[in-house]
Amino acid sequence: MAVPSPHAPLRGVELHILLSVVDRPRHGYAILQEAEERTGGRPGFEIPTLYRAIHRLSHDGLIRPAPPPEEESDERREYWEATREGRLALEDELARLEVALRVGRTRMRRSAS
Amino acid sequence: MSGPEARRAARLVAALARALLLLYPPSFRREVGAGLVRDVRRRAAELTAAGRRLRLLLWITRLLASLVANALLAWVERTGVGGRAGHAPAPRRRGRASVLSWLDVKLGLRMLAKSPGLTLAGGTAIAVAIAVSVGFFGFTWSFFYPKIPLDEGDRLVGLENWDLRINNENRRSLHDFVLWREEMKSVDDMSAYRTVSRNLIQADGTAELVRIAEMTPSAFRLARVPPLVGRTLVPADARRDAPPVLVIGYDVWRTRFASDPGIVGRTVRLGTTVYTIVGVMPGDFAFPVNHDLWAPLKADPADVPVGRGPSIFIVGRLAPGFTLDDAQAELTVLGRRSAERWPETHARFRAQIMPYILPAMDINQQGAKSYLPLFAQLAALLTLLLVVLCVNVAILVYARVVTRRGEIAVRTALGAPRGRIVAQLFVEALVLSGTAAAVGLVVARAGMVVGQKIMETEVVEIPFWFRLGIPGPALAFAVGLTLLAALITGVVPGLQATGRRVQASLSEFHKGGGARLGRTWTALVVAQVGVAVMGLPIAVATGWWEVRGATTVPTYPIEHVLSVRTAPDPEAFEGMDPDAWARTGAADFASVQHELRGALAAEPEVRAHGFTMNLPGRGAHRRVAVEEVGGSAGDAAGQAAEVGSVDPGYFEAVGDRVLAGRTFTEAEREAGAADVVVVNRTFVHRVLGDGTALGRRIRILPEGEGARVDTLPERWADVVGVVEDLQRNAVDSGLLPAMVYRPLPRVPLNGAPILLLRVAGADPAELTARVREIAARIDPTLRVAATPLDDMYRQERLALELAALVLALGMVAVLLMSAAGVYALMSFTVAQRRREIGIRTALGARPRALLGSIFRRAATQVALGVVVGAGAGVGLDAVSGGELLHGLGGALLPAMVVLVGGAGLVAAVGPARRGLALEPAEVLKEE
Repeated sequence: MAVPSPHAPLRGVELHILLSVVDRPRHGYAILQEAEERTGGRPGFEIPTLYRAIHRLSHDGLIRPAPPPEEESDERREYWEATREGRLALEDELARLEVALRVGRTRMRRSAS
Repeated sequence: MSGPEARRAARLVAALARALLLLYPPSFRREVGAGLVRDVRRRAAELTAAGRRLRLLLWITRLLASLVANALLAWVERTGVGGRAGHAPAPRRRGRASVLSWLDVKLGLRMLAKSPGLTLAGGTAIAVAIAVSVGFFGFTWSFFYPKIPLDEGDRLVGLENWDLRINNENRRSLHDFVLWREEMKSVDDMSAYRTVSRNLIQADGTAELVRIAEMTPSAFRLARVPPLVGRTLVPADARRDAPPVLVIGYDVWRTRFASDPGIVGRTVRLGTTVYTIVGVMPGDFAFPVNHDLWAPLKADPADVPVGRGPSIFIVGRLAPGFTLDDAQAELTVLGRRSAERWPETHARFRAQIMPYILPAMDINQQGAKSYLPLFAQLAALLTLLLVVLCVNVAILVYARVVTRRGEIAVRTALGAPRGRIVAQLFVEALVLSGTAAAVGLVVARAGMVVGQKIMETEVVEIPFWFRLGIPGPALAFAVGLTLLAALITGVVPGLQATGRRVQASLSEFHKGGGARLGRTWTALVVAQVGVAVMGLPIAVATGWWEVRGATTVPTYPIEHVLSVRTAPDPEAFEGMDPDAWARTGAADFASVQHELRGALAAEPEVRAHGFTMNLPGRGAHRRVAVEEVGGSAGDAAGQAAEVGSVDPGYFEAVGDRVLAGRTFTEAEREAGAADVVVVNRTFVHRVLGDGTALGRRIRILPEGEGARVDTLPERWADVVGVVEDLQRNAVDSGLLPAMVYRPLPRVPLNGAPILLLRVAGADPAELTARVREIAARIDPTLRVAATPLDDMYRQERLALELAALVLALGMVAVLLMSAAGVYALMSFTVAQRRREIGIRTALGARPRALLGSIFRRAATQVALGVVVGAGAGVGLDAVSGGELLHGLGGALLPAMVVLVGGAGLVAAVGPARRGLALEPAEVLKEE
């Protein structure tokens, strides 16, 4: 069994940030909008919590400032991207969630039959 | 909300976020602060542009709470992460679980019990601040954002024409109502109503004034409340030739008709019209505002020209799928069309639609637009009150933390991170502020319950939707304030006590130095004392100027006088031309009044009776010129006096003594003669310089600026009598009115006179029912209000006394605050210098010298505050041209200096005694 990430388990807001910045750099507001889309408008955190998490993840080396993507270059904004450690932490977290998902589904099926 | 407004609101919220960002660690501000503020601004702009005010306010509340909470957590994380510089990645510690442990809460509770003085003083201050803040916020919110207890009540709207010329609404909009009802797709069930007063005439002939909502039958459809008995109004009822029908409220049914199950079909007379009752509404139904009688509005636009007709309120419900903005857009188009069709009246109108409560409460939409800044200002002011109080509490807490430096030092040495210690102090403070907030909320809630009861009994026309309470946003505001209080009283002292100097203070610990009160706190104490010395005299002088009228007391037998006001039935002169009213209506009404007076005079308890246009001791404020003995006018511009119009019986009715000459004769009164006047003692003293009054001639100048006697045709009035003043004022006789009485004509054209009855052998209040009975016999439609003069006077005094009470409470609060500041400062000084005091006492220092040296700094600050405050007070008064202190500065400023200085001294006594009571041996042993 793989060694669990020192960052596991991720908090909800951290998971949303890493999900948003894992494939391309995004700024804070885009992360918030994506999280709202994923959760039907109820991400469960406010802007200050988001920025505290960004600050924390950046200090922990899971994300880092990045140049903006060419197609939406907005130089006034700070863009963020996942570091290698951030991708690993996200993989660990997704694996953990997959296990939970599998166990949950199996048991639900069993209880239904 | 329009574009510029949305931008303004977004800027305001962003500014708030930027200000709160100061609470965050510098690295956070530097690295992500700008992004946070930019996103807050963008989100605020999106929400304001969407026009969902409630959603926006809820979001702002959540945002503020989140900003404060995250500030604390960011500090904890900063220290928890290890205070690393730069961005070096490192495994992090999960600090949250250990930050808020039950042990901390338990410790906090123990600290509450351990320092009862601090708990009581700090807790009371925070509880009061939260009770006041939540009370104000809750009241304002309940007022502006009530929940209308009707089906889809939040979609009810009001529509009106705004007259740009007079900057007010124009409700003579019958034609607009018909047009809007036919054309508008975005508003359903459009209805109109107006309120009229009529005499409800009972079977025994007695009459009582009631308010009726005359409304289009569609208004019942709008309210969506079915009747309890019978039916509501139907369109056929509103036809001109339809028989008059009435729907009554539950209370009317219960009290006046003994819950008669066969009520439908019974008749009731309102004024001159007999109505048939067709239905009863349920108990809690008071639509459209606070009504319990409903009749159809029979108004046909064909009968009235555009811009005339009855004054109506237009209401409706937003149709499904439409917003207020959609409806406004549609209404604007219709408004433009009306302006083209009826340019004389409608060119200056702007049709507007708004939430239902605004027109009903007479709040215009222009005013309503300024709610958001209003709430922001209110919240900022209330937060400031809490901050000022919390700074005092924080100084006290810091004094206690200083005494716990030993404990902190040991824990730091054992490896406790700074965040852990600060978090513990925060939780301790949170226990205090949370407990205080709970008390404050209970007090605020109790105040709301009492306030609602008072409003229901005292304010007759309280709208059916008005419920005082603590709504969600006010609760969120309270939570934010509680967190802020804990931050100020826990984290600030904690950070100071564990700051960079903590290592130094550890080494200094055994020398007794280390902790110091920062410059900011010192400046705050100086500012507090200064504000007290400056603000109190201004508040006292302004308040005194306002309430000094209360020192004038009546000298006539006020407790025996009953005032009877009468008014004709509005149906009698509705739509009547003013000239026609003057020719016939006024004379008819006057003869009814005289008949009433004759009938009341025959009552055995009535000793005297008279008519007057003003209540005793009052008159119309005018200027009066006096003819010089030689024949020319002395001061052509005249002198101020109060002019009353009274009949001969008036002087006897108020028991006025004639000092010289006589009062009016019936002949003078019948003629409505303007060439004789009676004056009072104060007039003789002030205007005639105590000279002979009888035989002098005066002239009452017309109203308006610049009237001079020498530009008017010759018409003087002889002073035929002098009467005693009706009031006295032991404090300032300059407040007594200089009265000039002239004969009241038999048929006054400018209003209805008040009939005064002097009653003997009975309480005037007992006569009120008899007055109504007699009035109903003479003319059942005559509207009568009989009130003992004493009651009216008491009510006026009550308002003044209330103002005086608020003033006094405000003064006490300011005094207590500055005393608390001084107390906190003194306590801190003693705590800081325990060791020094101990050693010096052991070495035989004299107590007085010791005290002097200990409190020199505190005394300097108090003195500095006094000087700054007094200087600012004098300066502001001079700038305002003496308007602020009203010439009382010479007495008030020194008094306040003594008072505030005294409060400071009293506040210093406790800490001083503690300081002197220190046992040297004990202090040295502690070390």
